[in-house]
Amino acid sequence: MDTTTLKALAAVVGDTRVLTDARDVALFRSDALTLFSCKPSAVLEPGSQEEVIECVKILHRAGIPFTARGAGTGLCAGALVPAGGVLISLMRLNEIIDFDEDARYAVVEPGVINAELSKMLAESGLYYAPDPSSQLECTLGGNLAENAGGPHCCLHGMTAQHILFAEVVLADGTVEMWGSPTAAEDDLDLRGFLVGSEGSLAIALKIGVRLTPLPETAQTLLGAYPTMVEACATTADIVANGIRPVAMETMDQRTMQVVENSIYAAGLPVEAGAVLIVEVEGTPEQVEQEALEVEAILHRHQALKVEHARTPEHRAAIWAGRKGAGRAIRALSPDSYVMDGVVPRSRLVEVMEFVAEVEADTGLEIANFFHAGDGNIHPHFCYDANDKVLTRRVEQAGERILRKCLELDGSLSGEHGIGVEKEALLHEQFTSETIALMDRLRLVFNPDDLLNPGRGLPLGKGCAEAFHRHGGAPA
Amino acid sequence: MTETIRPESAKELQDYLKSGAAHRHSLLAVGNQSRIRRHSPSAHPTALLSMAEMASIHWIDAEDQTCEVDAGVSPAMLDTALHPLGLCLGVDAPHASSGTLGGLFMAPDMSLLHGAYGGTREQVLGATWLLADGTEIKTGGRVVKNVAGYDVTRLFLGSRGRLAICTRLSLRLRPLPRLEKWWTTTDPLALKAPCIRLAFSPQCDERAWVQTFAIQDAPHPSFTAVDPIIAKERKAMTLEHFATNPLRHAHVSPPCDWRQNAWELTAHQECLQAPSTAAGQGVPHRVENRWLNSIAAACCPNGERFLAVNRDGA
Repeated sequence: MDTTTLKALAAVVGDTRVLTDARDVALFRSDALTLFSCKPSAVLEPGSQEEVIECVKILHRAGIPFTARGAGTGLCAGALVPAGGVLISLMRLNEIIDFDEDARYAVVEPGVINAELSKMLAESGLYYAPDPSSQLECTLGGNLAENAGGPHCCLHGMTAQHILFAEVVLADGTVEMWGSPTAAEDDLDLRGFLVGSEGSLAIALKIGVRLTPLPETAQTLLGAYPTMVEACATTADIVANGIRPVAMETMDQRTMQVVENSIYAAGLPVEAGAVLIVEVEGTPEQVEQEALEVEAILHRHQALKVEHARTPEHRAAIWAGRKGAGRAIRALSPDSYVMDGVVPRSRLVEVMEFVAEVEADTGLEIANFFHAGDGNIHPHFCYDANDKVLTRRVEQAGERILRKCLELDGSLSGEHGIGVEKEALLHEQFTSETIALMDRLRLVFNPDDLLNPGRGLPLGKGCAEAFHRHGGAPA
Repeated sequence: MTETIRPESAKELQDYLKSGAAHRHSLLAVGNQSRIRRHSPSAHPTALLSMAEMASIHWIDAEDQTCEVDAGVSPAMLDTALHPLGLCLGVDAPHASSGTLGGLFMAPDMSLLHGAYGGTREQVLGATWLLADGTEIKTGGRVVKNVAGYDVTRLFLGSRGRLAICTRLSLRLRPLPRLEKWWTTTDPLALKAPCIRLAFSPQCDERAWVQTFAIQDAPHPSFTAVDPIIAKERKAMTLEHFATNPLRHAHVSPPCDWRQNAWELTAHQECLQAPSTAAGQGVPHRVENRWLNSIAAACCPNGERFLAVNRDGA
């Protein structure tokens, strides 16, 4: 990058907030999916919304590609810039700007950590419902960009259903408000279009999030099963009985063993092939009745054992174990790849049988822990990126499973996004006319394609080849 | 002179559009024409596209609780098919028998079941569309979680035929509630009870009417149980009121300014949901209209357009 631009940026954010040193920027070369990486030419750490807007204007004038980045916990390589580009870290924009208890919404800056918001609001009896497993680290800005999910989205819905409005800065520095606390159903839903657009339409600077009342009561049940297939088959029956669980998660034996050997140990039934975690919430009467029914269904599907969370602490431990599973597994190998695919719930058994087949074919070890209630699978591969052959096999196995998801009327992603990871496969899910329309729509908002260039669409502009694969040393 | 086109298949409609119809006419898709005046009071289309002849239910998957239907299917027709399976659509809307699902989702009112299942857009998993130049677009899918590609479904839903015509919908379904109870309250604070999000009904009188599912006792001391038959009648009246009022659900009379009424209504709804909140700042219409034009241009680079019915009828 030319020194004039660098100086102009430094004048806005301060000298120490423009990182160009090779060792500093190396930390930002990938997100939590290390399959792809690219060192940005600089990382900016603005401390206010005004500073972000100024940086955007400077970069736009200079024609330099840029991407906003939150905590870097994304799992699809969504917050990367191609060589020569700049990353704008939004971590310092971490203020909760406004909280309207009566109207049940808060206005936050994009760098606010997901779990922190609920913690701050605890006394009001309200919380922010979407709970990605990385919620202790991930930011609400990142959640918005990728339309993040989480276990409790089974009832409460994805991030998109919890964002009311966003004040955004467009690629040229223009600021606009999209959505409102009182938006009508027939408004043009720019807010909805923004959520999940992987930071390629605009950067959200203020986010209005919907808050949800904490449930009066909740009950968590664990059903231990001989295999994953039985656990998956049970989910369909629970829903068919008219029960609306707030979460339905499953973990295989391999995952449970890793969790139980980690600081996330939760007393999971490691002797079983798989566990199904079902949570119901509501009024005490309703919870009691539904828990009894769920228990009966778990038994009807030949559960080896059914257990209730005994105390609120036990319930919290079960969720800490479930949400910590990814971290526990990632600690086992130098690199890991958690894949994200969706099938209709009724095809879960089929897709999990296929995952087992892939595991047998390839000899790779796959750990499975995922959102069974939504048909959203997460096969988890452990590997070492220094072994190029192994890495390629992991990628190919992931692609085989994703193609199977499409074959079963599913989708390439339920909550992680497309990023660099799945660009090449997108044309297998959508027609070329549909992808071309998406591209034209992107250019409406981001006409010079400077904002997260090429991200999320398979058009070859910012495609995977621009990034170093396999976590290899960047040039 | 306005002519009405009644295509019997998406192919027929596509051929019509491909023949350059959007260049020759001011086209407006109108479902079964049940609400045209209300949603486009000052529009002057030269050709109306009726979707009423395209009314097949393609499949219902009871296990996944999803279905795929033509946009011309009426909500009542879908209900008739769903109820025996123990399922329903998570939207309670006017014109159940004379309207179409396409119209319901493209020109949506606030659903009476908003509190239970979310807004109308949340019920749509995917859709098939025709752009003004006849290009077919398929967005979303049939799974309940899907973040692949841009969410064009959300962008097009609610656009009142300005960007694309919806020909097919893939919908999320809900289990039929086992027990419905109705309550009224005049205490706006009572609506903050956590269980109230189960279901909620805005109402045109002093009281809020609340519907809850499968709760044994009154959810809050200030709630009064209502006889289900009376509640049902009241609900029908409310829906009828929504349907016949040409200016959305405005409860003010006489109706004066279209936009102002719309806002009074929204403020009223919000008031019931969140009693102490003043009316919102409103949607920035200028922003909306500017983007609408650019998005419409991106949909059809060769200049075909549907009739641009902006919010204020311009």
